[in-house]
Amino acid sequence: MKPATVDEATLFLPVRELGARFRNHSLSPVALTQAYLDRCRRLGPELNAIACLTPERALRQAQQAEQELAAGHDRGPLHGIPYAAKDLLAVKGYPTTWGAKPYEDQHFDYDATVIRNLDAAGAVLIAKAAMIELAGGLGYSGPHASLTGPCHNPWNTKYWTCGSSSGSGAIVSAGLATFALGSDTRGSIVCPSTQCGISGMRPSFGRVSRHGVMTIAWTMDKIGPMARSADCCSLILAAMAGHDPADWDSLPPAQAAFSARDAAPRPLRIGRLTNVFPNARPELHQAVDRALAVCRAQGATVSDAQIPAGPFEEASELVILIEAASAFRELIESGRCALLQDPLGQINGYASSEFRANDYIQLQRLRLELARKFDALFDHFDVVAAPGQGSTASLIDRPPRPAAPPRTPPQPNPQRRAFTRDSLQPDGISSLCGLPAVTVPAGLAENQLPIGIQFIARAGHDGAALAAARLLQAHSDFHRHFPPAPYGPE
Amino acid sequence: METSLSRRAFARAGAAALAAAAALPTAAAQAMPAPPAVTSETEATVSRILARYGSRLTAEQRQRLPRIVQGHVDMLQAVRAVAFDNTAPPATVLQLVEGRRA
Repeated sequence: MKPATVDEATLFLPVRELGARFRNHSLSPVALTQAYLDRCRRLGPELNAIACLTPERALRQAQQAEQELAAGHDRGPLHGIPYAAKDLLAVKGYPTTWGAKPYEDQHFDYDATVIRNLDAAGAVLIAKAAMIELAGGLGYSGPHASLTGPCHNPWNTKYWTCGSSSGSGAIVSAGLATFALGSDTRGSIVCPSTQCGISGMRPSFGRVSRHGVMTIAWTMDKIGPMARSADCCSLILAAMAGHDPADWDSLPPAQAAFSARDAAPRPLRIGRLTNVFPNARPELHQAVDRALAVCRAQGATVSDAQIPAGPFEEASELVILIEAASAFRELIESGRCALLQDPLGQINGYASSEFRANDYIQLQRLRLELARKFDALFDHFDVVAAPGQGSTASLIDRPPRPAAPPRTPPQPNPQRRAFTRDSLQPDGISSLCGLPAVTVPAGLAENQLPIGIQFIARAGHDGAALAAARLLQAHSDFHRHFPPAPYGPE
Repeated sequence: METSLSRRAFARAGAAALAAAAALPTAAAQAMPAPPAVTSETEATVSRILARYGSRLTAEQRQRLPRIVQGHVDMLQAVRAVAFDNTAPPATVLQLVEGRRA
């Protein structure tokens, strides 16, 4: 039986459930794809979530999936599942704008490796997802820094999705696709996933190929899934991951491959980070503690942990700025950066081009020091946990702030010989070290916007972060809450 | 990075306080704080940028530039203050090409 229409609730089902329906013939990949395309056309423009639809490709792939499944040629869990890809992944036949005016007519004559990997898994690409211009590579100051305009949060359209994978977050949250691909240089999957109330994963550095993907910072860019659940992320990562000789930083085959069937650590040892997001509203930390109580009740051990102190947030920001100044050198030198939407992005490249090589080497020495310290933390824990973000979603339009008083110039202290600044948030630090992280919903705040919890694991131990999130989701229903209609199911 | 408009501060503040400047660029420009006190390093860097790219910049961008550079210098000073032994290596290594296909 192939129903002519697909009800809204179906559009919010996880990968395994949709796959089961394909295989018992109660749902058709073509019908599901068409339903998502229709919903994208209806709701996508309201949210500014979509860069472009790929309907011809989508229907061709869906028909192929339907025929293959009917013939018993099963490509696995993603076979026939519709998804969207952030518009920094090259897709032949469609524009790849990088979310930025200077590249609005850009086309590639090949597909990014992850797109080809998902093709091989039978997934169906239905859209390119809107994004912050250049994924924030030259800096940005807010939601309007996008070729497609500010992306609205399906939970409350006065609020932003966060960035830079803004469209990917809105698409999954609003049921415009089953999953989406995002990129994360420093928080660009974790933040929009958290603030859109979905599950998102930043894989270990080098695990997923970036061939055919716009570069911000070679040593920090990662591609990852954003989906309904950690289990979905696990299935998607298994299809995305793998060694790719076309990506210079790709891990060797044995380290790059990922299996969704990897055994979870037992008992799971969770470190609750106590020195992050000190200024976050208490309800964010309380939500994390409630979620960890669920894990503890299922046999996990939970104890306090602290990420290393030091100027690591500064280091991650500087590494991005310096590498981006090189990656976008042509854009900067040509002056075409003036075409960017964001007033910061228009000129920040000039400033970022002035860093010294000696400072970059200092950053890389600091980075290795941090990586060693952070890795030692995982001698005691399988994962460390923290709020997904330090706040819920922010308003898209806010009144201007009053003028600030002049600042006192910083007073460098040449005698300082130790790390002296506290690390306040985990994103930059864990990104700097290439660590995997999974963020999943942990409830709603008083303002009815999503709160998340993130699990960070040792480099290469992506399965541990996913296991912690899956344990939580197996015994809670935070991830089964959806935005109010029309962006959630009726 | 400009103090009021940085990715780092953006994330730290949950983006809440920072979205306004881009959302309302004209209003934000009107509300722009007075130029901050800057270090000699900032002054020198800004001078180099203006010498090279100054003809491309508007008056508002020229006014904004010292804050951006001072933000960079603030971050650099925190990083430079960390001392290492002579042998402490950077997280950059030469990967040998033999056997690898591009």
